[in-house]
Amino acid sequence: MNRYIIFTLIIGLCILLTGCWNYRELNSIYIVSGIAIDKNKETGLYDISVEIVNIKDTNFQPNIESVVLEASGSTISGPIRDLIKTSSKKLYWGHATTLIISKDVARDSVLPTLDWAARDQEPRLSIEVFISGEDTAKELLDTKSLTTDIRLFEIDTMVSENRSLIEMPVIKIYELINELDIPKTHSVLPMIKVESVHGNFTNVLSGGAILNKDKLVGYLSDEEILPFLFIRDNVNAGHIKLSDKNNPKDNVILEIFNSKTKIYYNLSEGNISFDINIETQVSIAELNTTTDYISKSGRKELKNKAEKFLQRETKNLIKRMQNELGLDIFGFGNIIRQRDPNTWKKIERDWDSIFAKLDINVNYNIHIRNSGRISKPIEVFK
Amino acid sequence: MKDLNNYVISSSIEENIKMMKDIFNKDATLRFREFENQYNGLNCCVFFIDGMVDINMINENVLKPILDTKVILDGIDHIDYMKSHIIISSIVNTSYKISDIVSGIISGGTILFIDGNSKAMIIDTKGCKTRDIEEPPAEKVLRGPREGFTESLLTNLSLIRKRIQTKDLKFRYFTVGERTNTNICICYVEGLAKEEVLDTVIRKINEISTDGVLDIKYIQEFIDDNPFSIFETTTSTEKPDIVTGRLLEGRIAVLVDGSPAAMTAPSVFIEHMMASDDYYLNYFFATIGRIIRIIGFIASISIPALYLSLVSFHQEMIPAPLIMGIYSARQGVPFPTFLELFALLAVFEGLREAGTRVPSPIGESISIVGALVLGTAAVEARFVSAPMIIVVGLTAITGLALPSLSAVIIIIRGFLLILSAMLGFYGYIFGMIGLIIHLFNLRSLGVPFMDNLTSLRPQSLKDTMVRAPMWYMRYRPKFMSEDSKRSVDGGEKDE
Repeated sequence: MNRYIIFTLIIGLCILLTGCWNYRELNSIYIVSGIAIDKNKETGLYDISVEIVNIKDTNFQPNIESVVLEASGSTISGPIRDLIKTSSKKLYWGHATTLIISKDVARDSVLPTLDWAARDQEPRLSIEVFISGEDTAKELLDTKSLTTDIRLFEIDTMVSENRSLIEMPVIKIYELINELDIPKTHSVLPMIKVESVHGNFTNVLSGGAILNKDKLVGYLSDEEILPFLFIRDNVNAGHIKLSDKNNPKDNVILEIFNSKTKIYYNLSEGNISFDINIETQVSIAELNTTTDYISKSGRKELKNKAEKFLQRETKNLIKRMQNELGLDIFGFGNIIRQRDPNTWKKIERDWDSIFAKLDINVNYNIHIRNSGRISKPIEVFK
Repeated sequence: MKDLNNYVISSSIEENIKMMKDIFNKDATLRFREFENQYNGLNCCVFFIDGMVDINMINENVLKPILDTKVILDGIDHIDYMKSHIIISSIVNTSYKISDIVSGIISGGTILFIDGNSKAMIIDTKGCKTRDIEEPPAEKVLRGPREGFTESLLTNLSLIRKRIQTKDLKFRYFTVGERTNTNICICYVEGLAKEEVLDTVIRKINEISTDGVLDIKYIQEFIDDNPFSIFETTTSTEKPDIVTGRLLEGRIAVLVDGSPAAMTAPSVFIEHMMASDDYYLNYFFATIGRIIRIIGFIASISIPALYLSLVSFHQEMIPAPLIMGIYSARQGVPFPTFLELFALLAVFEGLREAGTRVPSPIGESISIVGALVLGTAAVEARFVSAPMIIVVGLTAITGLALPSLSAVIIIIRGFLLILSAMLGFYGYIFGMIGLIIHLFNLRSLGVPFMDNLTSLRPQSLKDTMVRAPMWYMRYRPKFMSEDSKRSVDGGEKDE
């Protein structure tokens, strides 16, 4: 008898003490694709724009349209909850993919937004976070989607399907939350802009937004993204564009196959220095030039040229970070923290000033694997 | 009811005729013929029941020899002389007892009374009409033997004997049913079947107390270890080759006169996933068949519950494009998903039931009406959503792969569906845990129902999800038989 009571108790407790399990009919919800958060300059309140998927009543053929709901308030979750007044059904966040934060909000802090997204049960922690490159985040929702009906799903498809080709990797909420916690390392968020394609406005990824702790302080340009990713060892694919200022007809594009970055940390006589060795496999993707880069000496020249170009770009980026912003976005401090915790304890407080004077050597080693399907430039008779 | 003890066989033929007429009062099928030998003046009378006997046999082997004999029977015991010299029949008994006579005549024997003798002769003249040996419609095979059992016990036993020609094959008769007095036969191969299992079966059969036994299912229910379980822990088949295969694994078969199915026990769960084709086709192909049946079982009990859980509890688990498709299909459907699913499954079961009960030409039209007309019209009229038809269709198709479990599948499916409607995946998992605990609790004549499925030894798993090649099946299932090596002289060493 005792056994049965215990069994019933176990089953009963399992059922009653676990999370929510409400029966929710599919058609009683609106599927949310994503959210854009703005700050109203006049009132100082948050303007929330939520894109929902409105599926219309049609036989057999799904007829989907994007509807943007708006609300504003002094908090994030307040206006979101208010949205139920304007929509007839409950918003369902389980399929939301995108979170866009405007520059104004990010300048204040990204924390209130992240807090809501991480605390609420429904939004996933794998939502991708973007900073709007336009004045407001809402503008991005107003553009007409080119390929799919839902604006934010298109962004999600764009970044996930082409993940390896995208120059700036996307960052998910949980990754951002983890990064914020790493001492003295500052996050870079991808930025998204509106661009006109054949008269239609669409969204493109462009550049990065640098956070100082949780506040937006600066930007990475498109050209700075590649060296930044090389240091972060985050390059899976992409293009290296080599052009000669003196010779405008000399353009070569190299396609990256894979790349491996190794960062060596040296401590000698109290001086901290880093050696960054980057091994990259490339092939020639475009050869728009009169110079011979195919012969043995030509290949060597091309290799040197590419290495020099990347080295220069990388050093420029590091210098700009050291001198202008003084923010360690590369995670050098974290490398010391992981490899030499004792030293880190001593220098942690002064890291910002140490970083500004840090001696960093960058060595690229580029292997040109092949030249695509053809070896020589296409020849035209003289 | 007349008490047979009140009657005694007299030496007068007239008395005996009167007595037999009295015993079989109001039974129009009792026939008798009085006759006299013209040479020796012997007065005889035969009794038999019309339809149970072979009339030609009586004419040729009983009447003709007696009428033709020129032997003067004088001063010798007529009955014993006739038994050994005149009657042509392989089975002849004599008895003074009226009860022997009655049971002999109702089982198709012919009773011979001879004037002046208070002993009767019981001659076996059984000649009942039986069905021809045909392929059982429920167990059709692609390749392999097509013989099926008939309603005649003796024919069935001969079908088994034909396949196992050894003196170790034993047939033991029992009589069950106080009114039907049905013959049942336990068969086993001595040396392979476990003694204790055999004893249990015999004990349980002797304990059966019932009016009548019409089919093997009666026996199955009486000897089931778990009478309240939805699973049957014995299996039945209409094919002698399957019975033979199981006898050779050390199982015991029970056959009932009048039933074209034989029961085999002990049985394990995985037997339900087997088909006789498995052993007659290439083993790779057979293995694929097994795996499909196992997936079919799991899918058939799970698909409705999982769909319901996904759609009404865990929308985050459906990929976004799919959820939009389901969403749009559900627009305008007035019923909750649970009701929709339950009703549609009920409709399907109704169609299935209707299809099995009506003659086959009408059965086809029922399926056409059900599948095409009802399904399409229901979706167009927005009674149900289109994905629901797919879900129910998949459930139905996968369920059809396992005919022996079809009833069980319906019950588990409904049970999981209700649990899922209350708790989503959580309820489904509860249901599955409960199901597995229940399955592992079952015993079939002392053998665990889920045996062989918990071991990792290749020899234990050789005939479960995979059907290993014949040369690899060197050992019989260990739990089942005494001597576990398959060949008589042992084969290789035990692993």
